[in-house]
Amino acid sequence: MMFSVSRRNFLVGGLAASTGLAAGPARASDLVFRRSAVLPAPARRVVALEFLLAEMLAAVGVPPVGMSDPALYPGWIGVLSERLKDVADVGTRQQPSLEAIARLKPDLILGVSYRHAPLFDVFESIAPTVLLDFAPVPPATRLDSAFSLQTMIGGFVGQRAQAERADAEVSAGIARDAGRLAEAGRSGRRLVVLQELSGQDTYWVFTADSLSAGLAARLGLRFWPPDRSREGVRPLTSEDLLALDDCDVMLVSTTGPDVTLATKTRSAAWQRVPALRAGRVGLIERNIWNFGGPASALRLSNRITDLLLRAPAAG
Amino acid sequence: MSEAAILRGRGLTVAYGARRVLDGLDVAIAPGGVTALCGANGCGKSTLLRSLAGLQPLQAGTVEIDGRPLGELKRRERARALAMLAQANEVPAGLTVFELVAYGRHAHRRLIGGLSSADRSAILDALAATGLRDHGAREVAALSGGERQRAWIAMALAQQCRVLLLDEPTTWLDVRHQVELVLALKNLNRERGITIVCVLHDLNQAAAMADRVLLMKAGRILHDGPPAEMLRPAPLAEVYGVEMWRLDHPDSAAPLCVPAFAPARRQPLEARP
Amino acid sequence: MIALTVDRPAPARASPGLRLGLIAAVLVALLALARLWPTLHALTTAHGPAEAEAARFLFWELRLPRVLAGLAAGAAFGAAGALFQAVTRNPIAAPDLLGVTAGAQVGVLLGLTVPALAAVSGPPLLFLCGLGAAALALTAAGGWRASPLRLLLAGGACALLLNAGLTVALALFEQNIAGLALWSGGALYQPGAAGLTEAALWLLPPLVALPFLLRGLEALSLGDDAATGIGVAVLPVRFGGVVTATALTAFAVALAGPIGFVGLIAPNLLRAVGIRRFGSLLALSALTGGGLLIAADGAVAALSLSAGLSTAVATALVGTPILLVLVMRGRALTPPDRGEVAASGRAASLAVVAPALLVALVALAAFGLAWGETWLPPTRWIAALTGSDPEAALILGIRAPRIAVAVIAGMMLAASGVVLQSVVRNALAGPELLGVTQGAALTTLAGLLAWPLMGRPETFALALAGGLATLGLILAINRRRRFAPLPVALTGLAFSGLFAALTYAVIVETSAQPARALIWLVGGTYGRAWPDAVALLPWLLVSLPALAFLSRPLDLLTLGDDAAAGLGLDVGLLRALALGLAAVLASAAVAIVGPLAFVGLLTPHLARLVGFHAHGDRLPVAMGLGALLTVAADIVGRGALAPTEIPAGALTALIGAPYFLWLMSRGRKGAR
Repeated sequence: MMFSVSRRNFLVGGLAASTGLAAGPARASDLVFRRSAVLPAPARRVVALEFLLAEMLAAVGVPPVGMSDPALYPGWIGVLSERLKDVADVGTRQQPSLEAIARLKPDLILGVSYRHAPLFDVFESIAPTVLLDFAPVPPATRLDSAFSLQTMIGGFVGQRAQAERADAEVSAGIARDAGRLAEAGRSGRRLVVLQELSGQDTYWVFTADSLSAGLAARLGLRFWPPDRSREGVRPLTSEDLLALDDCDVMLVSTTGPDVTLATKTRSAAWQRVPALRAGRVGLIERNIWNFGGPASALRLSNRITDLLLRAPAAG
Repeated sequence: MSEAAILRGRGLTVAYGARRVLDGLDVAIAPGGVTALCGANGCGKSTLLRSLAGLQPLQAGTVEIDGRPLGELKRRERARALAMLAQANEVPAGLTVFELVAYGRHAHRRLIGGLSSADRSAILDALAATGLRDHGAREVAALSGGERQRAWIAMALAQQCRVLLLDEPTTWLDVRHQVELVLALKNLNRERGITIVCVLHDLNQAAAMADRVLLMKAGRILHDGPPAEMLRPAPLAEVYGVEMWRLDHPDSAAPLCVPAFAPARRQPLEARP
Repeated sequence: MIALTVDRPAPARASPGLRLGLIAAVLVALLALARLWPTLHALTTAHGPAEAEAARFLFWELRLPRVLAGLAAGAAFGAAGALFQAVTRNPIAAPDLLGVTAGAQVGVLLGLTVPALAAVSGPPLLFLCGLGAAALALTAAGGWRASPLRLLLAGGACALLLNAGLTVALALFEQNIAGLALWSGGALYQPGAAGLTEAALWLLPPLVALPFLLRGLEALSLGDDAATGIGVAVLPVRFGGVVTATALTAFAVALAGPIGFVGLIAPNLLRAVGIRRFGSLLALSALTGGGLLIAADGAVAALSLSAGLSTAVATALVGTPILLVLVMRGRALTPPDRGEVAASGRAASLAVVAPALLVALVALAAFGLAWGETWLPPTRWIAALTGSDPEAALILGIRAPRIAVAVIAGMMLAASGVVLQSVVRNALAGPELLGVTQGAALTTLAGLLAWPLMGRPETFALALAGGLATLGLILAINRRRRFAPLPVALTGLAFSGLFAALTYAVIVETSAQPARALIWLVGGTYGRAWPDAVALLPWLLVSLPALAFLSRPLDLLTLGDDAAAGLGLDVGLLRALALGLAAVLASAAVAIVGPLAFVGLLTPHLARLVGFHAHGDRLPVAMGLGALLTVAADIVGRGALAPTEIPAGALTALIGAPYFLWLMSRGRKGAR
């Protein structure tokens, strides 16, 4: 039949009473999309429904009692995993199990606007809820959002001081990386960060509002592209790829380490990319640090710095 | 005859694009008669029948039943006044004969609720009249061609209307079933006074069944009269463009017509095109 | 059935095919040239060897192969659409009839998640997976001896099944598959010259087979019996047609992504302008398909719109308005339309089945209240009601409204499907076919973007308004033609394609992670609360008397328009009323639970397979089955992998489709 059930299935409608796409322009205030009127002070039993929220709670020393997809966390973020290894599973990030959350008897539920906006009422019937929205306001980047958000979450659990300490440590770590780059004369290089997708020669490029862009600024690097986007990424065409000249390209993998950079760049178009010919393409292991908190940012900074230092000296 | 017409068409005009299928045709059907519509393929007989049934959008002209314009009748009134049986009918899977015949009661039934006793007796009566009394529970799709055609006629009978319009009811039947059907229709006409208008290809069948034959060509009625007058070589040659022989039956003297199937041995007919 | 004679007026013009073909060929050539012009220009004006080399590469390795790939894929889609429509005698059959697209999507996912396949991932894998899915569907349909209707239904059920599996994967491994979603938007493959030459080899077998099938396929339009009578080997021709079309589709999907819509509309556009002969139709469909695809691809590139406007979206935007205009002008002719139906099983008794369904529903609902992450025995229900067990009360407060919503929505979608299939007289009809579902989704989405804090009543009102507005458009366009089945179906298809594409564009435009949105688009009962059930119930209650009232007229309609009219039915009015009722039912259900796959489309056939055909019986049975299926999906989705939730919209198909296929294969062989 069916005439493309595919067409039916994924295009077809019915966002129903609920759609997680509402991460729109309207914002109650910076960072907070919607919150219960009364929050516990401080919260002790927090449920975190997005990886970076769990990461931040771990960073400020109050790991959540429940989180989404804990089994996937070590693979995708892997930062501070040891502090989160005993956290209860409450299902997927998009559709967390309400029953599992209720059973944990939390005193605070932390979610994100782009996934949980339609679920606010249901969450609030279980416990006080805060939905966060961390799209940065220009000219800020997601790195700035990550720092402010971690401080705010520290405040929720009565650990503001600890949060500020953690932020300072991360800032110091990034500054150390900047120093290593300056020492090697790599400051001022142009950085491009790509996210691999399936399919030949299709990638996301992280844009000027992304966490990577924020890192580049702190590391003393220039960043391409100059435009911003809604979620920090936009698709990249193969002609854009051919124009990647005089820059260092970081390619974030979607596969395991068994697929090498050489395999990934076999296509005719890649073979003509100047950065690849110059040996300036580095492969970063599969992760979503770009969508993480300050601790993830430090990990990403370390990796980028290592790969940049390994690249041949500028000609 | 024209005074007491039960069904009358005036100035019926139907065109498909530039092609006129009915060309200002007038016709009147007297009550209680059996009328056969004959003519070559594409002459407009089926369109005339559909027009009389109110199924065909008309460019011009009106159809009256009992002196009332058909358009004024509500659909259910119309269905109680006349029934039309198309040439080819769809048979939904799983439908039983009884259910099919019960569809004929649609125009009589209350909008909600089951069959009334009047409905039931009309259905059983229609089944009996078509010799299907014992076949009510069978699936229509499983019937033989003759039985199936009778089931459709039973559905039309269950409408309890006074006029029955049939489009080539015997075309797909073998000789025995053809004879049975013709006799059954004649019977219905005689016993219940149902007016029948029937498109037929078989001229001898028309002669056996009808008391009036209309010969059509190019959207007009060329000849109109009793079978004995119509089944003559001259009008038939004019309508069909084929040479025909007439034989009168040696025993009954009923008129019979057969195509010549051979180059003419007699003088060419004057009306031959 | 009494043999059918088809009085078809001879084509008015001597050879419209040839003239149109020339015009179309010139148009397509111009399109291709326009698409290539900038690079061609750069090639001739390049300064210096480096620039010239770059321009040459751009032209020969990127642009030209891309245009050629677009042409080839579009042509393959167009030809496959014409073939499938001839084989099934159903003008709205699409080239991915047998689940080829779903199979290819599985291929994308496999390439992503199985590292060992990473080396072969890409078109070869998609091609093989697409063929594999088609083989599965063909086997289920009875293989070699599959009748058109069985092909349609088995293909549909298989595609739904695979899609459901994909959705579950999406729900569970969201992070891995942003790429799948991008591919699903129809990214034209850029294989380079060498890759294209290699892929072109896959086209050889179907192209060689086509000439041998052409005349046989043409004769199939007479019906199996008449075709047999004139000496056509019906079964081999049909089987060959199916296999050839499937190979063409797999090639096109692997190259251009799931844009089967091209193959759906190309032949219908041509039929609407008067092309009838199958040979001309096939050749021109290929040409039109190729033209449509490169036009759409060119529009995306030329306007340098963001990825939101993918090729699939652009195709719908280009093709739909043309189709709508043609339907409106009344050029889409209505072929003699036979309300084909599924094989009926033994006759069953409503007096037995209805109570059984009710008992099963109650038992299942009770089980659903008790089962989940925490087992809640009935004793705790009482404790919850008396207020002595707050935890049980909280959990029951989560479970009970979901079950209630599932029951109501399942009944509504099933009823909508039964009514639509009778009115449109097409086995493929369902709420999705009319575009009602997609219209509701689009307005809801637009509303949520404009007012992110929109509440439930507003959402509900928007969805309903979207669905009904779509219906209004369909009725307005078809009023003059008394809502004849085929134009209604075509109009609905055009709208569903357009709205679905726009919805998708909006999603991609506003979220870099379409995978996230796809889960919502599948529909389900997750997070639904009492206000949802309360919002839904009145619509069901109001429609029940209307359904009872319409069931008998709908029975008459199965006899054909003329017979029904002769029996005293106002066919046009009935169609409008029934379409309205079906649209209201579907829009309201979609507003709350989204488009649950399978329920609206296949439960009507399921009721028939169980043995009910008259609407008075079939409606309640289908509604009972719909409710049962949706509740089962809700319970399994919530509890099977707890705390991980599986969208109920995927599970309805995952549970329903295998049962459906089993019932079908058990039915009489070759029965219709």
